[in-house]
Amino acid sequence: MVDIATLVAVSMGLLASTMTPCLVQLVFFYFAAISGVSVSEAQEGALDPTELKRYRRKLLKLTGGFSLGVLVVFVVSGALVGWFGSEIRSIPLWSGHAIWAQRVAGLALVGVGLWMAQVTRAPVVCKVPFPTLRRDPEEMSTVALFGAGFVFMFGCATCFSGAIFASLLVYIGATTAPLQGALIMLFFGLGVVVPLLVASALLSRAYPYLAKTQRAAKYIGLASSLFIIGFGVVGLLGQFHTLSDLVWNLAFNW
Amino acid sequence: MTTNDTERSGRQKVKAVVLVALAVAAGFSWLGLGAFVDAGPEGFAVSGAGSDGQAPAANANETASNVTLDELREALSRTNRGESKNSMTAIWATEAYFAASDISAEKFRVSPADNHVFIVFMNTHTGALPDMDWTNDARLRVDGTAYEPTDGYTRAGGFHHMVAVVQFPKTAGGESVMDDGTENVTLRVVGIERTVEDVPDDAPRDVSWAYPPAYYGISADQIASEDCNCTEAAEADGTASAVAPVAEVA
Repeated sequence: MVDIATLVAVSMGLLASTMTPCLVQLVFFYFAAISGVSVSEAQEGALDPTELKRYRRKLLKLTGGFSLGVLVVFVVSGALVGWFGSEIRSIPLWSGHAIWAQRVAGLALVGVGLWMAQVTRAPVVCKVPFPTLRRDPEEMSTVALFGAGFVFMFGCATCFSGAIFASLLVYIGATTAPLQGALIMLFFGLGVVVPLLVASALLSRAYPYLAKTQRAAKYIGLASSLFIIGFGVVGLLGQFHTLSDLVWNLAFNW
Repeated sequence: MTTNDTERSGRQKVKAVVLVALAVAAGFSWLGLGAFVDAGPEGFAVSGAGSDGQAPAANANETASNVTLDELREALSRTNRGESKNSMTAIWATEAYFAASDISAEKFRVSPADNHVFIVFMNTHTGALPDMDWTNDARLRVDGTAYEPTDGYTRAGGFHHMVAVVQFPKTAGGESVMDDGTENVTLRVVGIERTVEDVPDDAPRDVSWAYPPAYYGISADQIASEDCNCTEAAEADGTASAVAPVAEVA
């Protein structure tokens, strides 16, 4: 029998205690990704009431895509921990030093960064040849942000999972409980992404009024793209944890 | 542009900036959850032990009742952050702890009935933890006498966070390794400093309990639901360290 209240309690306990720099980076990454796309959208006449409504809806959809990408990694990971128990260590992704996962994620993030440069018409970077897919741009943006959330968490999984799984295994690892594992990580993930959705709702009301920001959209797009590409390069070098260390030192040891 | 338009534009910009600030605050709001949910570092409650791992003196509360799982975990946990960035927390996992936590000792491959079992968490936020199994080299020191583990293994994690289990026999040479005269029990781990500069690789890391730790002999039946007023009762007889409300399994 699944006791939802207990699972929620465990999730919140994990969330409260797992202030790993990875999750802090996730929020920075989210703001870069969402700002790059949304500011460029805001300049397209979003102050018109009808456009404003459409814009707000779109921004929430984009954040929803990003959040879903993050949640998929959490939920699948939780289910796998519940299923395999301590044998999870035999899965290469979580064997401890799986640099290859970071490199795959890094490559994908470079792709997301280049895509963002294209859609935001970022100076210089948008000149980099990038395959144009004949898809609805809004749908494409949502898919791209889903991919951004997914690959970011996938790349962080080698380190971040240690913090979560070590704790999770004490509760569920002793029993074969993929459903419990998935639910705990779902609630855990919601604890992270619901604030992002709230942030998105607030941003959707702010960006259309930042006229100067709209004029600078290309440059915000450029900054966001470079930020994401930078993340990708760090991942390609297998150095995600160096960023974690930097964030940790800046936050707690300055 | 008229004065009214300018004023309206100014107000909108202020509003937008405030909204962006609120959005940033909202995005990071989950970080504040720790202020309301006390789960201890890396998911587990830890005791009031200082950086040297020495536990404050505690009295056994063998007959205590209405103890919550969190209070039990608190009483049985010790943390030693040492001089390096690698911290270590150990829970003396008794039969009652396993039972109350709803953890199957059998599937954990340990026997708390026959052994002193310790669940050890290692965490770092800089560099990496040693990629090694240190459990065979762990020692349980009972008033200075060292005992080797019967079994131990790394259960999960690696890199920045790791959890391992190690168990020691309750009897040696036909005699109990701990008795009424026992004063101090120390779990010694060697290897945690391997990835730390300026600290010898073989520097030991200890966590200690005054024997017996609070609630050590409690039975699983005496673990109460979290809504009891146990903290007050425990504080009254001086056995509890600071206990905060938790939202973990109870």
